[in-house]
Amino acid sequence: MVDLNLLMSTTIYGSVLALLALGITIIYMTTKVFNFAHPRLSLVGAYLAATAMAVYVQHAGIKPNFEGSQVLGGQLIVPYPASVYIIGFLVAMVGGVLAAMFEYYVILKPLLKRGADFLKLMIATLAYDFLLMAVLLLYNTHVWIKKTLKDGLNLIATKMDFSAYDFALITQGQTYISGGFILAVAVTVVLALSLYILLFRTTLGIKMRASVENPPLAEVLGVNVERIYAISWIISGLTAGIAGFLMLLEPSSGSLKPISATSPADEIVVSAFAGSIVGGVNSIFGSIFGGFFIGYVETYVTNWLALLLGMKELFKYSRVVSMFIVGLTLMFAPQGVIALLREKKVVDRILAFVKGRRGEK
Amino acid sequence: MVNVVSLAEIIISFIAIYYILTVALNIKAGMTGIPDFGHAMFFAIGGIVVANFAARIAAAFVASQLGVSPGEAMQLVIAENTAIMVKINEALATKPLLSIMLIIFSIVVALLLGGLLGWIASYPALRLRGDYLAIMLLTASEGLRIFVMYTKSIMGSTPTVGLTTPALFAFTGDAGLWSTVFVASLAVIVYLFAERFHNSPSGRLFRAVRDDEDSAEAVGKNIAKVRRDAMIIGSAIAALAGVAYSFSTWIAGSSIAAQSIFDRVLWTFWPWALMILGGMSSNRGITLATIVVGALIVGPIRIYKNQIAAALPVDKLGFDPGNFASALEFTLVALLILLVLLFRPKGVIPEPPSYTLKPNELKELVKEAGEQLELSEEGQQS
Amino acid sequence: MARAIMKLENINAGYEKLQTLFDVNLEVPEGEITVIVGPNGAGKSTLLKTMFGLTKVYTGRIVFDNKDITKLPPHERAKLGMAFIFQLENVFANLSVRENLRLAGHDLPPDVLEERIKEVFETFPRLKERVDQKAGTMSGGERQMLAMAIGMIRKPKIFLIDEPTAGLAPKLAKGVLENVKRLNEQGYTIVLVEQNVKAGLEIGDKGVLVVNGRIAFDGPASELLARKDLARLYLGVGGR
Repeated sequence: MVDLNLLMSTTIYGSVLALLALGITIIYMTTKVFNFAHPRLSLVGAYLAATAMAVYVQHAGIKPNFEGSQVLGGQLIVPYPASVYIIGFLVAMVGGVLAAMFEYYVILKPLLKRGADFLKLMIATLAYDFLLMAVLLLYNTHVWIKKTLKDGLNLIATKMDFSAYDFALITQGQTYISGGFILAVAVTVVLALSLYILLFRTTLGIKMRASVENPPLAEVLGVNVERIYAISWIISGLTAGIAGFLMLLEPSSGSLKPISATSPADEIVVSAFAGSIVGGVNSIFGSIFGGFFIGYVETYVTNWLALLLGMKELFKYSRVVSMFIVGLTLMFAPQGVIALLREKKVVDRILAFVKGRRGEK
Repeated sequence: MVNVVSLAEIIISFIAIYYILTVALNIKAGMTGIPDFGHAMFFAIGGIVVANFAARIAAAFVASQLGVSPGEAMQLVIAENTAIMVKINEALATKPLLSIMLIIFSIVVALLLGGLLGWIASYPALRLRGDYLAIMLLTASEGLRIFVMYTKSIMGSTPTVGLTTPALFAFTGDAGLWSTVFVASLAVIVYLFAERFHNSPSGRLFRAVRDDEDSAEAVGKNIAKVRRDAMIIGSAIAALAGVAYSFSTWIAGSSIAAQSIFDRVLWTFWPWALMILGGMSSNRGITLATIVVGALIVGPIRIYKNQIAAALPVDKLGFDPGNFASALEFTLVALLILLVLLFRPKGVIPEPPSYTLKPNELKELVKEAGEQLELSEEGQQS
Repeated sequence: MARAIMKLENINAGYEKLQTLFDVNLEVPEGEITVIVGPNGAGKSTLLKTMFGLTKVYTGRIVFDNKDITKLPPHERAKLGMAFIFQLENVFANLSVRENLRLAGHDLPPDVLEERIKEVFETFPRLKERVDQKAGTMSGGERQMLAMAIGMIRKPKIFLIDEPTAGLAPKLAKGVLENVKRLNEQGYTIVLVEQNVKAGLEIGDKGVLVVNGRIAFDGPASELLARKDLARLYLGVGGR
């Protein structure tokens, strides 16, 4: 018997990771830095979206659609009109983009201009992460924000679970397909397709691929490489914002984490980077695969192990699985799992690896 | 409210702990070039050794006073932590010998376990370079944090509350003072070690590997061994910092939590900030940075953050004073590091040159070489 | 003498804090081949890159086509009609031949671009055969062709070519220099950095000798070729 609710919530989680991994990968390909602040960008999107929806709901006097509410799968589902979700979605994107642009223009670009090495850039992204954390901490403990979220959407600012307002699209008895699930899948598919078209069917796409491969050559051929990088930051922020919106819809039951800016070590960092690394840090479509892969593996492997060992508590350790996946991938398949599958002599590579050391590129 | 003596003790303990931790990072990152973004996990080892191992041993020794068997007492340390530790700490206050033994035990075991974890972490550190290694160590630290947080038998059932630590300095009568003295002397020992190490042949070798691996290898140096040694030594010292933290009644308080000993702001990022501020690989720079930042910025903010927040009319603006203070600390450390990266990328005191000869001997040599060069140039021109 | 299409005035330049060019004054005559020679590490390539804005200029002025371009980023210079051909990695290996050409002419109107691509294919029929193949899968000679084609597609006013013969067999090198000469005969101004002094100066009109980041000789190429003293001291040719 397939647990449909678990499958749906895991899929939402997987697409959140896919979007985050995608953003991390795009930035690594262009700016050549692992952006540790990336998961936090999505939280900026999530908080702004929730606030905007709350304000909108109050101002327009919109009430949740109680007539359409149902208790489904043990959960009360009270949907809002579609306009509320659309506003949230758009604001989340704007929030993510703004946070990303600030990071690029105010912090990383000046450092790049001064010829900072990867270490300094990485530390700078960590510093930005803490800066955002501080801002979010101030934000979600602010009286007005707390009140707005509570009055508008009945949300607790430090634990923003919006899933009760999910919109059930298809219902049959107690079984239902959640709107968040449909949205997550649709958004990821649409995004992947548009990225494909952008990269392989447009001149901008050619410029982007050229700037990734050989920035000086692209520059002397008249491509404004800096602007291409800025565009990649916009795309990265956009996907982070969407991921933030999906996080709101993600049920906090099961293996899923709370959205919280109060915990300095935000747990999603491990999984998001795992997604990017498993996909091969230089492959955009690999990262989307990697995100879903990590999402399913975290959930199902720990669930399976929990059943096998009879330890109910085991699901809490799901991110330890990701940690091991990161380690194994980096050491044995630094080009990502997909590249590894293409490689026939996997064992030879592992043996060669154990014997000698290798650089990362 | 804190009086002047306590304030001094707090700041000294604070500086000492961060100094030890930053030296540890410097051996790995500053001197050898291993970008350790998982530094907190080695620090956490020290906390686990004190709060778990030392506490259990203490329990076993005083089990008869508690009226249970040693085995039961060791289990109760986790199961009934708060209740049993109150009794154990009462007992420890009258047992100087046991306390001292446990202090030594904690230090030795933390050094060993820290070194062991560093040795394990050197496996990827030998094989990956640069950003891949950084991300690997960061995820390892976060993964380990999650593991420890949810494993009841390590740090208790509530990750944010943690375990009450054994009061190993209670026998002195003034735990605050004596833990400060002890932690400060640990820091002095580490300082002397770091000074010697920086100019020792192995210290120079570490930096040679960082600056140019190929040349170091070409002159027959075993790079793998150097990186492994740096990981082991650096991680062991980081675990020592964790022990110092757990000893300090002023900084850690009477209990430590899994969440806080793995905190990547406090124990990974702050040392990075101090190291970069002081100048990577510059021991004296780090010392200065730790003292100045500790005494002027972080110490007072940690201690007085609620008063600072209360003094600023933030609540009138709708902010929560407690969280405002925390945010203030995050903001300060982030801005500090960004400004240093932008304007003083080599730190306040850049890495000093290291001399194999005495500076004046070196000057003589340079002078001689210069004279010879002039002679040969004259020969060419004529 | 022809009009100077490019002028460097009192240029001090280098990479970040490492200054490699000192007080360079140079004029590039329109329609001619200017050949820059000099010992290894003297700053020949730096000089060429400085013309294109790929280094840091501390003081001085660069004028191109009567316009001060000292502060312009490279991609803006490309739009003014300058082309740079790198010594290595001068095509995009992950892009197809067509994509390489489309990128090179990305700001031309689409119909002009199609026209130019056709012209290129007439000059290099081999490229037409490989139009959808990734450049990385082509042979070294074909890639060199593509690199030239990439430079030509915008019909630039000036070509800056960095050591095109480095690492090539003498026979192939001769062919490459002949291509450069042919390009010049079509009316393009060329600045060539060449490590083979004799072969380079033989096709050049103007010769420039760079030593230790300074201009040591600036005059007709034939004269530089004849200066045995300079050649022996700095260029390792004609010594005996």
